[in-house]
Amino acid sequence: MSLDNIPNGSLCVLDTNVLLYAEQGSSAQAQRLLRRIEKRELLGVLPQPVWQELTHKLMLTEAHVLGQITGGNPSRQLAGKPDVVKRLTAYREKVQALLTMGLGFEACTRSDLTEDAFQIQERHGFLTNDSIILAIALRLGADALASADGRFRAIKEIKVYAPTDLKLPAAP
Amino acid sequence: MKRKVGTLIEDEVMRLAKRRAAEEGRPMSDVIQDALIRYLHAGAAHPKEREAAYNLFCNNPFKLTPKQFRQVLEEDAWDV
Repeated sequence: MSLDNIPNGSLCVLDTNVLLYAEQGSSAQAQRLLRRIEKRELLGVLPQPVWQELTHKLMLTEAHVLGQITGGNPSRQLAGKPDVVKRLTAYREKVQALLTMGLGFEACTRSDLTEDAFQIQERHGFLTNDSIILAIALRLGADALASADGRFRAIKEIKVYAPTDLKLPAAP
Repeated sequence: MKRKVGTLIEDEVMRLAKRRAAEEGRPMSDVIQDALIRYLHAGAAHPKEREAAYNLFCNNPFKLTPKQFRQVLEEDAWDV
């Protein structure tokens, strides 16, 4: 089901990719989802792993735009340039804007990390971050998980919605 | 749509709420609802601030080339 199908009043956990598609204008559905959260038609929540991944990727994005990283392994390149990292500020404003917009933040609990995520890994074979995201979504009793990651489609414990209108950059 | 709810409230709080409702000539349920709405919205941004935040995030994208965007999407945050 598309992101437009998430009912009003839902508690919706968002994955990193949906936020990146919204920021880049690659999915009108992703942008409409954020608009509905901003208008309080539904409640959006970012689990801690999503927050961390998004922050990291937006930081890399700003560094790309400024020409501070080129070619492969951008994280390693940026890690070697602490003075550049100190000067990056636009990505922080973007992340802060999500909070102002009304998105909630949910930190990991001990139980998410040491019990529930492991059980999810055993059931579904997800990697660590995806298991923690799902553990948090289930703990919150979320109605919806918004993600473009096809691996989530197999789960039955929560309804998964994906952007069906992606305008992705062509592969090389 | 309004819904009937059952809950426990301290006698003293109820007494104050009844008095306020009587002073303002309003049903007590209105007084309780107003107090709850104020509590739930405390700390939340003003609608104009929320809209500005949406515009900052969605309407001012970082100018990435398709290749750069692909790289960001595929980047493994743990692979440094």
